[in-house]
Amino acid sequence: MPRDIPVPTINRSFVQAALEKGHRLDGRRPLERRRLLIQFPDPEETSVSGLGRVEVSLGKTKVLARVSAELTNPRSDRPFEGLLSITSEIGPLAGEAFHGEGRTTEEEVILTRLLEKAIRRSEAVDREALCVVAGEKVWHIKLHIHFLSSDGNLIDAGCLAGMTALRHFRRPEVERLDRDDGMAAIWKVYPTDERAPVPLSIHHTPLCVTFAYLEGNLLLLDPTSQESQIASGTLTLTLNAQRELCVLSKAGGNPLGVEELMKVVTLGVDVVREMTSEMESALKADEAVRIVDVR
Amino acid sequence: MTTFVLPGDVIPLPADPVDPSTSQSITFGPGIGASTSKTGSEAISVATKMGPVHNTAKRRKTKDGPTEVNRLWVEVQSKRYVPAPGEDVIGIIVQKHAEGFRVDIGAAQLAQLGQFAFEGASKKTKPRLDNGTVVHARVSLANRDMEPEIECVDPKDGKSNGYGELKGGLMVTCSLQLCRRVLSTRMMGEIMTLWPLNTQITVAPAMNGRIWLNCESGILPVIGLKRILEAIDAGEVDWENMDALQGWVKREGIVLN
Repeated sequence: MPRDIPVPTINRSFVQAALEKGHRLDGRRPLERRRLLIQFPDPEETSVSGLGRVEVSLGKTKVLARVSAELTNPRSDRPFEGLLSITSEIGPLAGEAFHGEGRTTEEEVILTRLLEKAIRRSEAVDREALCVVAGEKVWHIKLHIHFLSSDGNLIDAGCLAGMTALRHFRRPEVERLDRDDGMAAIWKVYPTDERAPVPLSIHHTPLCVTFAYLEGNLLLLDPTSQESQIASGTLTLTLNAQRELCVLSKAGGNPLGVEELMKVVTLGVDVVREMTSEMESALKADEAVRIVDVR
Repeated sequence: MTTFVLPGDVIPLPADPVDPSTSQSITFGPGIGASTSKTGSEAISVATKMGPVHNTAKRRKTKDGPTEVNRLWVEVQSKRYVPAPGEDVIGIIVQKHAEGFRVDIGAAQLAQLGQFAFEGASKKTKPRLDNGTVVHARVSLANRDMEPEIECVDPKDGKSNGYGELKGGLMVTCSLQLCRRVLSTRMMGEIMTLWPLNTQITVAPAMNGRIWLNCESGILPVIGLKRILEAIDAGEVDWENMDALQGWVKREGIVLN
């Protein structure tokens, strides 16, 4: 039975009253993000096998992303392109609200579609670079996003985890070995200790920023679960550090004016730049300690 | 000297009082269930969860002479509440129906709150509570596989004695462990020393992982206390070390008043 427990009326009015005075319940300012924590698996224990796995926490929200690759045949209409598939999963582990009996809630559907738009349709991964031999063999990159704990703003954490995992991942080297006896060629996937694995080619790093609107035109960045439940509407932007707007998603809620939207986009660009630099420094720190290539 | 138990382990009971004139009472809390010994002849109590066994042994004077009051429970980190009769809970009204209300108390099932389970309630004076109202109640019936029942009156005298609708303030969700600590230790008193004496904060802890906070003089004390409680729950600070707690409050920039 998926439960829809209402936010207590007293909490609703308390949060609203506090926000009108500029206070949030976790001590943040209205336009402040929660602490972002990006963790990779222990580099000494996992070295190569830990590539493409990352755990991102945004306050109490926690997301695990992992990437795997498989050699497959390309689609017949796109022989030069590899495949990228994204699956996301919110289990009952994530919180009481997700104790459904296998049914996907509307929130889950919106979340999956938004991740798809933000990462796949924005062409973040160079799919042509995933082609091994045109029309014969391509890489199929699979990105799994697991939501481990939910305290609002799953989309920002999920998108960041997904992009970090894709940039962290390295696929093995592959070579086609033709045979003299006329039999079908063998595809040799080199073990990672024989040939160093190669990182994916990434076009850009789109990240999501979510804002919540509350009554009285109060604007909040990175809303918690309680805040988004009492919000009159939320707005998710997908931007990259190059100031490009990839996705703008506003599913319901109060209407917004043009000036208001422009203000939010400008704010969002700064937030995405901060998040990108935090992500890049985490990736750099991990690269320095993870031994992938022995020369 | 705490004993660590695994599910199925027999709970070590406290020894009989040395003084034969002292009687002994034992109350079992969460994580302990009734069972029988292997031969089936003896009733024993076993652990249903893993964790250390806690006991608050106290001597009390009752009308039958001095009594050693023992409360035993298994301390586990969990968020899911398992109702037990007599425990205080804080619930949110989810549904109204002809005979009363259905209330979320954080358990696997919704609880029933009858319309006559209020002080002075009769057919003519029914309590009016909307969905989303927060109530402080007491579990009156909790059987396995049945919806638990709660009531907003004290069965001893039929008075409300603090049960009923909670108006204003904030309901905070925490782990069950923190709730038990608030109720069984000096923690709340120690934390409250951070505030000047004239600040009044009302704290209503319940056993189901919810605490209600209210302060007439403003919202900042409530936010501050909520953040401190959450940090203690997450293990970021320790209330037993007041200097460290004060330092943490300063570092985090928590405004207390």
